[in-house]
Amino acid sequence: MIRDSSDHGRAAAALAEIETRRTQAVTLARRRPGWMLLALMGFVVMEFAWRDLPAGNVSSTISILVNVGFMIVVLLGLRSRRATLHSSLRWRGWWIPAVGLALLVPLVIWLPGYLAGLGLRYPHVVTGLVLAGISGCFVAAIERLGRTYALRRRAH
Amino acid sequence: MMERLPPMDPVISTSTRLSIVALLAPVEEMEFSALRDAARLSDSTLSKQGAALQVEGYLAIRKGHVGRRPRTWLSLTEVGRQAFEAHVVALRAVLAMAAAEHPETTQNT
Repeated sequence: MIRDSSDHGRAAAALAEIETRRTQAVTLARRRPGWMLLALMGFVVMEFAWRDLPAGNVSSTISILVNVGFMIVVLLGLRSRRATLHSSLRWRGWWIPAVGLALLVPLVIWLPGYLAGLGLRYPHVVTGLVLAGISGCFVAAIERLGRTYALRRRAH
Repeated sequence: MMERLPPMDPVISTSTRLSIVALLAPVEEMEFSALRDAARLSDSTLSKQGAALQVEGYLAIRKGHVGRRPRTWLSLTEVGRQAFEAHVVALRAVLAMAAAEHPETTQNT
């Protein structure tokens, strides 16, 4: 028996509060810092751009160091999460990045050859910039899709 | 109509504790400062409520370091998780019961 109408109101308010907190927690656990995304894009640019640098030990050493630096920042970003998603939600929507990667890999293979054929002055720099832009958008979109997908699951 | 409702959990019935537990339910663990910011609580309030939930066996507190900085992570125990799920079931039962008893007044909630 419902004791009075305030019970109903309190229950509705509590459930709304729970839903809000759930959204907050999933968003927090799925969010990657912006600087990590920038570092990832920097890594992609350098991965291609160093090939347009004049050949020599110094330039290749510098490019390797810069790339390792970007990679370290990316790994730090992955480790710096302030919350870890529960195991029941962590692998929810795993196929979204898998499908995304399946689309991205052929593009990464095809694009450098295509841009080289255009006769650009610095084809590898352009390839790196284009792929960095695509990768950045890709990671941001995957993150958003994954978060939305996890939020739709009403296990708790 | 005299139907039995599942009991609500008195430990997490207050809004502050419910916020804390609801934030921890979808995660394995959450950093103290992230939980404090998300729940919009002060350090002392979160410490106090966290300690109370820990005494009840609902919350686990882990201390560690990230680099040289000390960090505290909070997580729900299995007891806390089950209590929260039972509490949600009870809240939904209240709503369902109210909807059955007064459909005209509850259809908008």
